[in-house]
Amino acid sequence: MTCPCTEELSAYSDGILEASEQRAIALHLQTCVHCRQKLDGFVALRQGLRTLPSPPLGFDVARHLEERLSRPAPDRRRPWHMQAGDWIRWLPAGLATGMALASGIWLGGLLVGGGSAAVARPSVSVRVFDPVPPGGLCTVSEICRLSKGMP
Amino acid sequence: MLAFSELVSRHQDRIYRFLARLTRSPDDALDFTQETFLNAYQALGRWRPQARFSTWLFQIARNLAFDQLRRSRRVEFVTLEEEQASGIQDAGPTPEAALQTTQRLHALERALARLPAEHREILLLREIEDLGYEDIAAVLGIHLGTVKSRLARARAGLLEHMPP
Repeated sequence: MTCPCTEELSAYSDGILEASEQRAIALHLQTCVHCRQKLDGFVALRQGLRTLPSPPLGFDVARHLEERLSRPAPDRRRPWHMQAGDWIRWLPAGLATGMALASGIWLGGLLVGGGSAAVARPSVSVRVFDPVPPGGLCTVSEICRLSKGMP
Repeated sequence: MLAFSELVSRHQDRIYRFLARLTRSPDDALDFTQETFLNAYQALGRWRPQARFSTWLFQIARNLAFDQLRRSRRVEFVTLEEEQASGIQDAGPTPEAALQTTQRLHALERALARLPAEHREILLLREIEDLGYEDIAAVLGIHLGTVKSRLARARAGLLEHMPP
């Protein structure tokens, strides 16, 4: 038998080959020093790797995980995204703001409207008041009658 | 949650050991160990009893480690700290034998650290975690034939890095 390749020797060291292949390689190893050394190297590596000290964890992952999972999930909603219930909390403030705005507009309208009335009003007031003050004497009866009949 | 905590306690040392040797960074290994179990907990519904739980955990752990490796675009994982290697204790019947054993284990740690990550991981799974070829194929997502050839290359590579 020719020398088995590294892959076959590696598989042989793991004992995963077919029984006939295992036997053939075992026979070859009895006579081939080169393959024997290679196999011994693989076996020594395995033994060495298994004797390497395990790095110490020094931390209880189970307990840490329990704590982490028992914590409520962080609120990942966007700040502007509100639930239906959130609107109720903001309702009084919203109403107050609306009323303040409405009253401001109304008062402003009065001021603007009052300015124009102030200009027009004198002619009306002239018509409302009698040309003769109360208790005064009416010297010309036609004028007095006319003013009474005015709107 | 209690049952899952028991599973974590049972497997945490093994997963950490694998990740510490794979990443060669105790801090990264600790983070990945926690993430592994957190991911497993969240994906428990996807686990099938046909697959061994430990195999599934190894799969999650190595995927996390390699994702991080790819994201950070590191060519290799960071170098193992000297203090990590100092965990090797003197052992042997005589001081000479103890020294020889210690030196041999140090040399093995260094040789293992110099291997490419894909060779290191397959050796860790086979030689230290004692996984079978089928389980290794499942963890790494490769065919059985690839497991066989990659393992052989990894062993040969490790032998080359060992002092004569």
